[in-house]
Amino acid sequence: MSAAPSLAARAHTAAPAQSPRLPRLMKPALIVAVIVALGLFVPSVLKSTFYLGLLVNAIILGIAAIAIGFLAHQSGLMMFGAAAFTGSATYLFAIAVTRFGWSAMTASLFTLLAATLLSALIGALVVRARPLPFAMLTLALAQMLRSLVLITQFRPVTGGDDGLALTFSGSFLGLTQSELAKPASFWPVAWLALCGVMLLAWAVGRSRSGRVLRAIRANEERMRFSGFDTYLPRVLAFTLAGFIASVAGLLTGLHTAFASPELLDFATGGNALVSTLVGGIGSVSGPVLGALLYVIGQDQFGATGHLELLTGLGVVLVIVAFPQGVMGFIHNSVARLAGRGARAQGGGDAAH
Amino acid sequence: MLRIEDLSVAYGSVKALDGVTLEVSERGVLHGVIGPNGAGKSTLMDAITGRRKPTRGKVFVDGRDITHLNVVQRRRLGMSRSFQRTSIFPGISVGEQLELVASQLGENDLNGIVDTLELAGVYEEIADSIAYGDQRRVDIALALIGQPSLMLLDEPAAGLSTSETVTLFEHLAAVVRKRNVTAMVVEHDVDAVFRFCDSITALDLGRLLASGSPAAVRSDPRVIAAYLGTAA
Amino acid sequence: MDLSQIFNVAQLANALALASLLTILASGLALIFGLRDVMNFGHGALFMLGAYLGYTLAGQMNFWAALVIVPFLLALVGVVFEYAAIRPLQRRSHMDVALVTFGLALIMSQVVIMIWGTSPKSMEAPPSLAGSFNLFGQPYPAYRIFLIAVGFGTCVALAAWLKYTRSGMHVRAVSQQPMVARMMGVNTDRLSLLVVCLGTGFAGLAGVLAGPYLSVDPGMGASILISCLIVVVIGGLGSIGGAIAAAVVYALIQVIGTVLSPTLAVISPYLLLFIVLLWRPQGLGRGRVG
Repeated sequence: MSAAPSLAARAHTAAPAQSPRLPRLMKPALIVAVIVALGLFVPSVLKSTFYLGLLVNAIILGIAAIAIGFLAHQSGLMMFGAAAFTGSATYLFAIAVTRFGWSAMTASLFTLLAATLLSALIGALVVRARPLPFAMLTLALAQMLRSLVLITQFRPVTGGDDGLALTFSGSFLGLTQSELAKPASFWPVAWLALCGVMLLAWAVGRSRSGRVLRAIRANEERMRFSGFDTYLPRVLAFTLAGFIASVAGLLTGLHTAFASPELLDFATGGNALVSTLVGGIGSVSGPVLGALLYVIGQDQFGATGHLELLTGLGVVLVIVAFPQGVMGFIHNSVARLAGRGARAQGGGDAAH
Repeated sequence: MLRIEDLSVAYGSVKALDGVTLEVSERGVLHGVIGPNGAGKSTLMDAITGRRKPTRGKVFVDGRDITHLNVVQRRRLGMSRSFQRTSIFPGISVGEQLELVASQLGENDLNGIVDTLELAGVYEEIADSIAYGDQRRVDIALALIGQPSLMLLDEPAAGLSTSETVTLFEHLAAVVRKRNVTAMVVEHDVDAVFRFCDSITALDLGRLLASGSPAAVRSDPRVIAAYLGTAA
Repeated sequence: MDLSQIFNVAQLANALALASLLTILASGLALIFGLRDVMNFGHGALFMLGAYLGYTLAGQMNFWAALVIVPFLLALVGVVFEYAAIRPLQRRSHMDVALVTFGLALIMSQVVIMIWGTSPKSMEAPPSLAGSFNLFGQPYPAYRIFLIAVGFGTCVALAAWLKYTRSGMHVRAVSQQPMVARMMGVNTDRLSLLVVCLGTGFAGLAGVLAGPYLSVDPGMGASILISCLIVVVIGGLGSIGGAIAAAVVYALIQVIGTVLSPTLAVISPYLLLFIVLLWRPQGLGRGRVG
């Protein structure tokens, strides 16, 4: 192994100078911008409402999966009960529209803010737990919310087991409710939300905060002995994950105009978790790929019931043999082909 | 510089550390801590660095009572430590973890630390994939970052061969002199301790046996009886 | 509100009935965790499988046959579980194993839906237990008394097994000091198989018993899992006595609390879980079976 010749330059990258990096990022940024722009035209190319609808579902599931993947990769914490965060956002939106009578825009803002605040509060309590108790707590949270929603006393607010259908007049970002319900017209909202969330997760992961989080995950005690507060960063990571999950929930509310207790189910959270694991935790696109695979699988195998078997098998396979998921596998294969060797780019095991 | 008063750590009725009082008043010295197994050396480290809460006693750094500060606060004040069981960051490259800590504590001579501890060769490697000896030095490097005024090293040479231990201690002595750091080193290799340390404390059964210059400690009858005598 | 509506014998008995189901489940879960450090997120799904199998067998033969056969079937599932999942993943982190059990739970619950459909099934109590008993002057379904009896009887039997038999002693030893027990020659693998089969068998037993009492529907696995986790954690992992106490407290809160304040009844178990999990400095410590 060659000695590190430019140690001076390397030590300097601890505080990177902005100007030399900008030109380097411009080319990929341009490519990304083009992809984002092109993505907006998918409905013009894909005319089938059915398949567009599938893609929209994949996007919503993918955003929830990104939330789970982000938290898992940066902090090593597994949100078994992600449904608590997606489902509660849908309910917050539905309640804001039907009970408070707010417009779609106001209700959306309220949903995102309230959900983020709640995530921060819950995170403050829950990030201290070790991974296994954490998973149990999120699961319990989802179940608790489900039971709360079904209490007869709260029926006027939550709609009980019938769920809460919502109608809003006016528009959300220029789209009426009926337009939002159609995949083709809803597509820009969903697509841009996905791009925004992916960018956010990617940016935070690449930032110093991301490095701090992953170092805390690797060795929390040593981080404290190196002068780092290890509590606040993780609360912030949790809050961000909760925010991203709430975006998924909000999209569900806008698109389906319906909040039901099923959204808070074990299984709903499980789908997103499975998507994350199968797609791969180490990257931002992994969970999205996993969600796409899941939705396709649901379409192909949903009727026969083989989907569920495949899902479970997928989870088991991933944990046992492919901790980096499909995306990680692709990454490593490409890297190996390119001759750089499969060096773990901060991927590591699915959950530790 | 470092003063401990009546420091005690008890687990139920077991006294891991019993009323230890000692002082290391100079900067730029290497202070060794020796003692047989179970003497309480690691507990002393843990109590001074804040990893364990003492049941009694106080810790003073530069005259300031830091007994109630947590480990993060102590590190930011300039008290660092390395670990007996190597504690580095798996899955992250050596360079990245050093730079991360450097960015937190402010370190303008990271290259110097890397050179002194001969880590240039493994700078790009993932920390848990390198040789054990290299990992030990990464552990120590992490403790060196940020110009600590007081470094506590818990058996830095654990698992190293005799020649590697000598090399390590030569590095430590150089670092201590060059950076004017006070380093307290717990070590089993008594020869290395007597050869390189400016002053020594000997513990046994949680209590202080003797403290002073190597010559004084070596000839102290209590130390000989409890420790050196058995090794013959 | 009439106090006698709340604190009457029937309500208490209801609480005990729920508690006895939970103790059977929680004991199984606690045993598996105590021995293998495996938090089985599939325990609820096993319970559900047992209930559905019980429903079918009771329909084709009778309830008593189901009561005997289903636990054995589930114990067989336990064998597969042990060999296919637990043993190969021994060295992996607790989270990885937990995820696998979670995945298996997903498979199982969906297989159940695949075979039996999504509509709830109702199951009748066997004719011999269909009537009601006179409990302190009030009529009370005989089946529930049977349920209580079986539940607590099982726990007593389990406790006796742990305390007085050789293998029970081994289980306790391994759960407390795995290394030492292994050095002493205890065959941990064989013991693990035994414990896992016991655990899954218990889940099956609870499932069959639950059939006539609760409704048999696809969501029963999830809801009972959380209750079970709460009971096991609050009761102190691995402690059978603790599990019983926690189950009774939990059931009382559920049954009586629902009448008083449904919100509180729903929230309090989770609050308790939060408190216990967050205030234990070590999170989930190693289970001590006994």
